[in-house]
Amino acid sequence: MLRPCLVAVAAILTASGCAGQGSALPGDPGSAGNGSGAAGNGPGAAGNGAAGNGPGAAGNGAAGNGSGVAGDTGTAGAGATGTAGTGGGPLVTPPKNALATPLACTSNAPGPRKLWRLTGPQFTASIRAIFNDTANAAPIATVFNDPTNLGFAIDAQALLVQELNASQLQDNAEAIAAWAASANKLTMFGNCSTLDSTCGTKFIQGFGRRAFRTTLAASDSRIATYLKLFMAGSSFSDGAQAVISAMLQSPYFLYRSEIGTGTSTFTLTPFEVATELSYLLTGSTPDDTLLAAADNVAAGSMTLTAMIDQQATRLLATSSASNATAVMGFMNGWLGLDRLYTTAHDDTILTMTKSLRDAMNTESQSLILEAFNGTGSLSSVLTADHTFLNTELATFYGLPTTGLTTAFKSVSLAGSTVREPGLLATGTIMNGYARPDTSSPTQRGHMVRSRMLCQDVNPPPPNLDTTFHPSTMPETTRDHFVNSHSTGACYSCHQYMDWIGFAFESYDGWGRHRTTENNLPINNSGTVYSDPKGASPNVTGLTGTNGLGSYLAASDDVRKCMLRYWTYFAYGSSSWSQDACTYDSIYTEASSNSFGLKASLMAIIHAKNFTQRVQDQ
Amino acid sequence: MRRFSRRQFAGSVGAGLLLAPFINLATRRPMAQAAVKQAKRVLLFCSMGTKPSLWTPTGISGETINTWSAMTKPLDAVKANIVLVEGMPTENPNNGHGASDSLTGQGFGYYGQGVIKISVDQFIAKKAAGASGRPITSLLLGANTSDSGGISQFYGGANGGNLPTIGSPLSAFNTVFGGMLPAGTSAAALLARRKSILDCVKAEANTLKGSLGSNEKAKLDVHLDSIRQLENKLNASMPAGNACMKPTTPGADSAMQYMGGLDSCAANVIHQNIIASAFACDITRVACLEYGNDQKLMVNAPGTGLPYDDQHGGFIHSGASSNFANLVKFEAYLATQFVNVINLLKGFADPEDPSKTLFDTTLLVWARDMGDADVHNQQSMRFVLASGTGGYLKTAAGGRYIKSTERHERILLNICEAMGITSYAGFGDPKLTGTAKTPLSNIAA
Repeated sequence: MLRPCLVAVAAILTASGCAGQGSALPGDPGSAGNGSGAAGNGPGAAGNGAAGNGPGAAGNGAAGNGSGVAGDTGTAGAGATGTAGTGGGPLVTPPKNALATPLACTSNAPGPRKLWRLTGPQFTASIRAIFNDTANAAPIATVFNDPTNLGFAIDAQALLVQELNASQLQDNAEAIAAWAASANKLTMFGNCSTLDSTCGTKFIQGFGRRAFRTTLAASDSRIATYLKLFMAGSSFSDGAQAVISAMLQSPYFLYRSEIGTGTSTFTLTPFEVATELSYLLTGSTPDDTLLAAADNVAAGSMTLTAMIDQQATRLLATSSASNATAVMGFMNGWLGLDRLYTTAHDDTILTMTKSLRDAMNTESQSLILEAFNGTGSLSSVLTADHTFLNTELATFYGLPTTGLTTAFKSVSLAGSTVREPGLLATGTIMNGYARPDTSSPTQRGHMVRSRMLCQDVNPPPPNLDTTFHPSTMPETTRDHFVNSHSTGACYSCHQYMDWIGFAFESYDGWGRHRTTENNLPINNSGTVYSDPKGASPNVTGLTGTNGLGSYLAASDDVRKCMLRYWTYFAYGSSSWSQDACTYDSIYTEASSNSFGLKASLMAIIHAKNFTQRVQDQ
Repeated sequence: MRRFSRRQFAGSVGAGLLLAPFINLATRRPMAQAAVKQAKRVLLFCSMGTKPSLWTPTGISGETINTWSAMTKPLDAVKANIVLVEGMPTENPNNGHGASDSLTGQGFGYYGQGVIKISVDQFIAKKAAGASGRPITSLLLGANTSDSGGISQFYGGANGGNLPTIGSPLSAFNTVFGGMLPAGTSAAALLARRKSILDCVKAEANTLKGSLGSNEKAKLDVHLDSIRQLENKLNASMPAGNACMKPTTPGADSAMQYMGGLDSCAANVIHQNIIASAFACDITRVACLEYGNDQKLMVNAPGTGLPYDDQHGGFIHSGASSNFANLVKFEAYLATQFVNVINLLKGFADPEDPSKTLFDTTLLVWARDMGDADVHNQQSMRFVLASGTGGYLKTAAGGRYIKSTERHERILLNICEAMGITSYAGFGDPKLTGTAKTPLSNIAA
């Protein structure tokens, strides 16, 4: 019997604490650890934060009666929390921020200029789009092996071309060029096929427009450079292949430019903004319509603001196939939805077929897209009174299959005794956050704590025995976790996770509904300790995922957390000088539109940081 | 035994120049160590920490291994070439996941302190005579080493950033051995075109740098260094018709998928072959093969009796009830793979001295990110060292077991010494001095 342990979650927690270590460059300045120490009933002494397992030192915190005060800004990284004063009850370590504390907005400054290397998926999608390779025939190599930070492999500081990447890029570019020639793709660019400077220039401008995501004017010095390569070829095809190979290795292709023009504040060019828009909303290079709109802005016949709204509206049209990319690229990373496919399960108990996993994926994606394509918000996803089922999935859940087929349709959950409303009750979440043989309140609770409340928990201290000891008597998973984690050093961290995760206990590790476990009744009441608001220390009485989902749906902290993670996904930076300016403007606009998912994304696009930058350090 | 013609390679200092402004390197050249039998190549075989009590051989007298543990039993097949070392703490013995100590000797606290964090493989690649002049200065391979936010153990570059591995076997093969020569193109013409293109790319990168602040410029500097490495490889390209034997071209990644991702174990078997052939063709002298990262390795190992599961979450923390049964099985699997690599190297002649095998002139090191991966600490780091006949290691017929409480960095210095490096300035903990900053005695033959 597989017995993976809570310490597996510790590994997850440690991953959170190791953020920022994947880059070859100095990381962004970190924030101080929360220096607040929890005091007991008596006055406590000021706590000094010590350097934690990460760069930088925490600020000084003072503990005393009631809540401690946050420390001063530290130099880098996240330090350990300060120790509480003496007296009073046992030390309990409140959760710390999963993301760096925003840096104060003093002059409404945008973020820094930067180059942002294409992610692996963007690299592949761009090449396919450039050649209109709808058959996925181009032999695109796997070049990049990028680190994951905060759930995403998009951090602009960590995406580099390093070590053997240049060699891999060369091999890839040559293979793509040869394929393009053999697949008769060359005349797409320039509509000519002769080895002369006129045709060469047309080819370079045509291919360059798609590869470099800009118009290459006749006066652009790059034309002459690439023409030299072209004319050195033995034929049009040979010369064109040389140009393709060169451009696919060029930094103008590999990096998204967010440099702009100006002096103290830099305005991104129309093509740079078009590139931002395209990769954020489609995950790929700008199409001809978007590039043409950028041309119009460059020519003065359209404003940048008008281009943004016009093109965003087009790309986010309800019927747009790329909407799945626009929102699921973020949601999958934020909530770890793709864990559905990678979390191991004990096949001797229940075999999770690919078909079943695909069905669960379709269900959760449909819920999210329905909200996104309408005016729905995260709240509506968390409390949806219906879901999307086909026969296979309904059978798995124990729901009626009347009227269902292999295709998915919306099904009301009103009156159901085996499924609660909202995303949290879906198989995607239940399977993704589970042990191979049973549910995991710790994993599920940690997901809510870190991803939705933007708080995290320290990894287990060294040398603590975290070996999971299986039950020695018939008991529910909840009782086992309570008995294991409600005392000693474990409780100080596990209270922030397990007691949230108990709200999921009406579902086993595969998402099947249950009212008993080992012939004992299920208790699905949950508690959120140390609610971020601090207005009340704990949020109790959350019954099932319905209760938990309703609490999270109404929480402004959850909205802010989602926007914060989405901003990171959109800009590729988790912290920069005066980033509070950006977060505040996004929140304000999203709030005015009831935090609709599409409106939230538009708020990110409307932020000053989308079109303006300051010089980087 | 295969024979290969000797080739001359141009030396390279490109990568070292990038580091020059930042690294406090000793300027004196490494001195010859006539008493030490040097290796020409080093291969790091890297995996997660383990459960120490189940790893240590169960029958030891002095340094002699009488009875292997179930985890290490497969090493019995090559025991005459094996030295086990354990008990050595890092500078930060309480460090756990994601700590960089294992191959660098430097933990978390060295960021921003003007001290460079560089892993031993990179230090050797840049400093060892003969290593830096190869077409590829270091070959880092290993599937799925970025999974779950985990990071690889390799560090390098101007600011000690973590280095990724090449996960795709096909990509690794093409990177090492190059793709097919296009029809109608001579090798010379292809080389000329490639150099022209790289000149163009470098010029564009330098143009872009002009607009950027130092932080963003540094990204392009890393890119330019990558191009320099490629140029070195091109300058040392094998002429057409060379007798160097490439392994079979791997299939596309799509052909070795399991549960939605690249099958790590299957991919790493191919990487073993690529490394062995890369050594045989003298394309590189520093190679690393990594099994997973500090967080995760999804294991699909048919025939071992292991379920599909994560090594760390599933096997290491499998719980006392099974006495870590699955971890023991997987460790035995890894040990079998280590022996497999040894056997692959035994099958190739040293390209410079056909009377010896590659194994005779290579030092293999099995290193880990943690000591005890169950409770997460680095109090007792452990290594498996292997070398062939006349190699660097002092060996014994039944294998040797060394228990030492010296700092683990000393073994990293042994690895450097094996590759002819005796000046360790710029590597490891700068606070270590005197004897503590020397290779561990009683390791070298």
